[in-house]
Amino acid sequence: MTTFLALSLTGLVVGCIYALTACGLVVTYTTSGVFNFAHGAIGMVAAFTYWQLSVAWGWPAPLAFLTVLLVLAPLLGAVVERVLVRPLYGAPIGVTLVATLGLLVTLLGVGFLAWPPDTTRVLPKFFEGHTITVFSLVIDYNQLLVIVTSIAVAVGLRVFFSGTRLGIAMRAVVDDPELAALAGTKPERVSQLSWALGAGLAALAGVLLAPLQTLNVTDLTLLVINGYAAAMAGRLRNLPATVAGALVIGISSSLVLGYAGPQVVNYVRPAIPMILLFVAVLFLKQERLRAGSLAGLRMPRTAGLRQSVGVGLGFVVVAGLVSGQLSPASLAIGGQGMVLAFIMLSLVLLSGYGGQVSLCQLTFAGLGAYAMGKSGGGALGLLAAIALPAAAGALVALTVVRLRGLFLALATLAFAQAMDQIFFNHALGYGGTLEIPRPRLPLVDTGDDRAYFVLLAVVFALGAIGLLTLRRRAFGRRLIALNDSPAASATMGVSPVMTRLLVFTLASAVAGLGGALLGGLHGSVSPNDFLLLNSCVLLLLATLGGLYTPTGAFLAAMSYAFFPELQKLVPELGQVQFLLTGLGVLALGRNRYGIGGQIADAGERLRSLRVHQVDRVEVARAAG
Amino acid sequence: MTTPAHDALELIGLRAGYGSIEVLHGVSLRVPPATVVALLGPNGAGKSTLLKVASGTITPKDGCLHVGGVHVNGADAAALARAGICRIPEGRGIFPNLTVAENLRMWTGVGDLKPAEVAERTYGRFPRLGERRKQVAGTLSGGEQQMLAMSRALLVDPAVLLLDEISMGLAPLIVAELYELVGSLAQQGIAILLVEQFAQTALAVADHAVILSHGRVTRTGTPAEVEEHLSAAYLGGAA
Amino acid sequence: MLRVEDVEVRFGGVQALKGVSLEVPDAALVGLIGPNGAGKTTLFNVITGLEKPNRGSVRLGAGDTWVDVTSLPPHQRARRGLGRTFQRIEVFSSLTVHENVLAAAEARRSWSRDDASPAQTASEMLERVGLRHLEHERVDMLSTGLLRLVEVARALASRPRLLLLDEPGSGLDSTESEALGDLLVELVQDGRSILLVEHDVELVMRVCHEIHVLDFGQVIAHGTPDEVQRDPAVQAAYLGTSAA
Repeated sequence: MTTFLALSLTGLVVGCIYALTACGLVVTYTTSGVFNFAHGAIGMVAAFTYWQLSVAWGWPAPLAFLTVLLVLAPLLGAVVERVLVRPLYGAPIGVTLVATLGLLVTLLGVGFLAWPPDTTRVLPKFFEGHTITVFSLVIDYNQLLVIVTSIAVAVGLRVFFSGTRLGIAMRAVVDDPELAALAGTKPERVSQLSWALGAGLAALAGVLLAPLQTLNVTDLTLLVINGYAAAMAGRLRNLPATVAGALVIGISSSLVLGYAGPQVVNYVRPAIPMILLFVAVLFLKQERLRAGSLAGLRMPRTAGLRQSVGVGLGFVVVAGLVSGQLSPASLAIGGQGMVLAFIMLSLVLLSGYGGQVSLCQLTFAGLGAYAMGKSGGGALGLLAAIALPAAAGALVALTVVRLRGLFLALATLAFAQAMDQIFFNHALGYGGTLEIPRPRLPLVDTGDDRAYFVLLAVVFALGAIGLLTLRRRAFGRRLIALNDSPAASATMGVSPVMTRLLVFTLASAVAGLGGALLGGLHGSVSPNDFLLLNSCVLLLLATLGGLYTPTGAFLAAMSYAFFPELQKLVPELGQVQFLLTGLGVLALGRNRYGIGGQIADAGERLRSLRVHQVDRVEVARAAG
Repeated sequence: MTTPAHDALELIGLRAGYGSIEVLHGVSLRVPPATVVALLGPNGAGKSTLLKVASGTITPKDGCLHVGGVHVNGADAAALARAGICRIPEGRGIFPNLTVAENLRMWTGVGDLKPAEVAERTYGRFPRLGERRKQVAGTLSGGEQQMLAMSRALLVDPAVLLLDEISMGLAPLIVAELYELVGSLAQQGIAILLVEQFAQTALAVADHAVILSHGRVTRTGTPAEVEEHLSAAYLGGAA
Repeated sequence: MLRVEDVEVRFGGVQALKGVSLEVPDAALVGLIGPNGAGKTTLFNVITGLEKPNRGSVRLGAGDTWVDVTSLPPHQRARRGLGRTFQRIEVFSSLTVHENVLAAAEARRSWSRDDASPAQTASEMLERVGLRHLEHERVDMLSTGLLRLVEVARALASRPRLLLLDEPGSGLDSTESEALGDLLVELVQDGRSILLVEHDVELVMRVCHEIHVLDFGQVIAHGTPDEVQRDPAVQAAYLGTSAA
């Protein structure tokens, strides 16, 4: 009984912290319509800042606590809203999602830079050493503080949202921003305030969570992902349900940890919040078919077959020539860029054309590598590397296909995280590796690194040509039509479910093949290759490169692959990388079509310039 | 009543639209205080757009927007609300997920009325809202929702009231009740610009009428003068 | 062709449709008119499956064979011969005019045995609505009136037996709207049925065989254009009784 109570208490404390996080998420999401993937990262930065002030600089704890919670965090939230979020209001979900993913990456970078992981930092618990005993249960003051704070925040939010003009105005803006403006409320100010409030809650959660473990940038950032599951329990709207969900997650995780055997603990416990998130997403009500918007995507002109084949051939020839000049190390890096670019093609198809956001493309790549490794390679292996991810993709799609936008992103995130925890660690072993053979071809020795590099170039070129061909044909049009107006598509006989299922499966197969080739490049894969965070970065980069063109995918993948190398030459660059990412994301607010879009625009301008010149010549001729 | 120096609302050569599509092609219009102007015309003529421009929801591309004689082009909706413009939008101008009392609290954002005064003005005029003050507004009947929307005009003492099809989908008795309120608000000195598809309903309370067609003013005059041309502009040759 | 029986739809406290029944015979052009907010678009959404009614049924068929489609999703109703346009324009805004219509023709080929060339069908339908010369334009460059014609062409490309048109004439000038009227008459002569929601009363009176008048979510009158035009209840509903 005592064990049970003690476990429940620990769980309750963690659940309270999840609840704080989740409430912050809900407040910002409902008011501004932007889901903040960097919510946990804000909590992480706040916890480290608190450590900096109170431990490193020796400020009194209460002063540091209040400075972080009431000044710094709200300020950060307000600035983020003004600079990053406001230009994106009304943008498609894919773009806003990538913007906050970019913020996540940037804050991670700030965290690593400011507090390098080589020193151990420990935050003392609040009121260290003080405990009270209720019946036989020992409760320390830190736990008490967490519980009391959470109750205070819950009551405070309740009073704020139904008792104050400002709180009511926040809910009013959710209902109808235009009407709120007519009633004299500035919607932007209200949503800025909600970001300040949300950041404050994230910071509170971070600071309360940090003393329960050692300070670690990644863990703190990702642990708060557990708040997502709780927020989903309240469908991102309902605060009481959110709190209940958070407590259930906290307590059940704690009980599983206490009672179940080590097998279960290792594999299942870390995945519990993710499984719950997945389930919560599944129980969402079927959305009505969304109406389209009149402003279309300005997709770059699609190259014709002849042009894309020509460019593809040229690409392979250049790759062949360049490969002769590359050192073995550079060949490996270039090859990695090539494979990543191929995997990104699956995102161009899925997100660029189809408008669906996936945060688990590398999970499918991992499955492809796994199938290739376990089947021993060869043609059969390649087939398995396509079939297994495709089947998994179809299965995932079947369950999530009716979801759109953010909910689809969250479901894929849950899937990726759960696969990280349950499958890859198990199938590939913790930090272990699985050997992946290279595919064998007649006449070509794929064992030779240069030959393999060229093979990868050929695969990418074929993939790009195939993708463009698909875009020009009926299926491509159907995808874009469905994304533009689901209602109109359905009323002309297109089954939205079948179409999304198909494209999701196809994209998974592409990612899977890419994964197998990636494994072949290095000879082995480890669980770290396919982490959720990497999938996020992949989507981020693909968007920065421009989600609508193979060129964009190629440039994004290459810069990703080569950046660590540049960094070796110029160490200062490491500090710039995160800043660059951040700047890139800010630029998205101005041009949503990324680098690829810019290039296509420039091409379009050149073409029209040429046409004008021809006109002028002809006019001159006619006049002469 | 002395003649005021300025019209409460004046539009001069106003051009506006959505994105690249221009809906209003140079509209001029005056609404003096204590006057009801009916803005009539077929669907798609640009009536709602005109009200949106006048309330700052849409920024005009060209022309002048004057409120109380002051040039206010480019001011946003919240600023114009503070300057005394009150637009009740088409459909129900309420927050459906807020309770009746919370909706009223939103209406008082511009002024600073005491709760007792809010209750007196609103529930005094519409006792049915008083009975339902804790009810979520989205569950009210259509008539009650429109009363709640109209109560904004009672609470903010606007200089200009812009009404967009307040009778839409409502039973005649309720429409009569709402128009009685419109009349008494005009008597208090408020300038009212009224878009209404039930032309005769609007003309019955209007002092002045304007027909808008394809984004241009095609006729202005007293209700009687305009009524003759109404069927042609409004219903085609059918009526 | 279509039978709607006793359909009721509630949105929160507002009743959008209260027991609406109507029928569209084969090869008939039926008008549906009424003031704004009367429930016309909601009825279209119920018929095409975008909105679930709280009560009532929608059936498609002919003669003695009628199929209850009330529980079918929109795309399956489309495959049974239902096509529509939207009042709030729903074009595929990233595609060109031609691709918009082509997408519909291609979709049809994926679920029917018709193997007419989709590209040809698309051009043909654009010709019919008079937009052939604009087929390579991006749709977001067109005026709303022309976008409605794109939607008509797109709906035609699925070769529906019953076409629901939601204010196809708004935004058109008088010449264009006359041409639209002629097109509607032609389409019905080819054997299609049309249910037309339109504010241009002149157009409705000219082309429709019969008219239903909707007010406050109820059918308040039904008959030939002449009968409806003379009905005092319609005059009152459409022009508004003097309330003050």
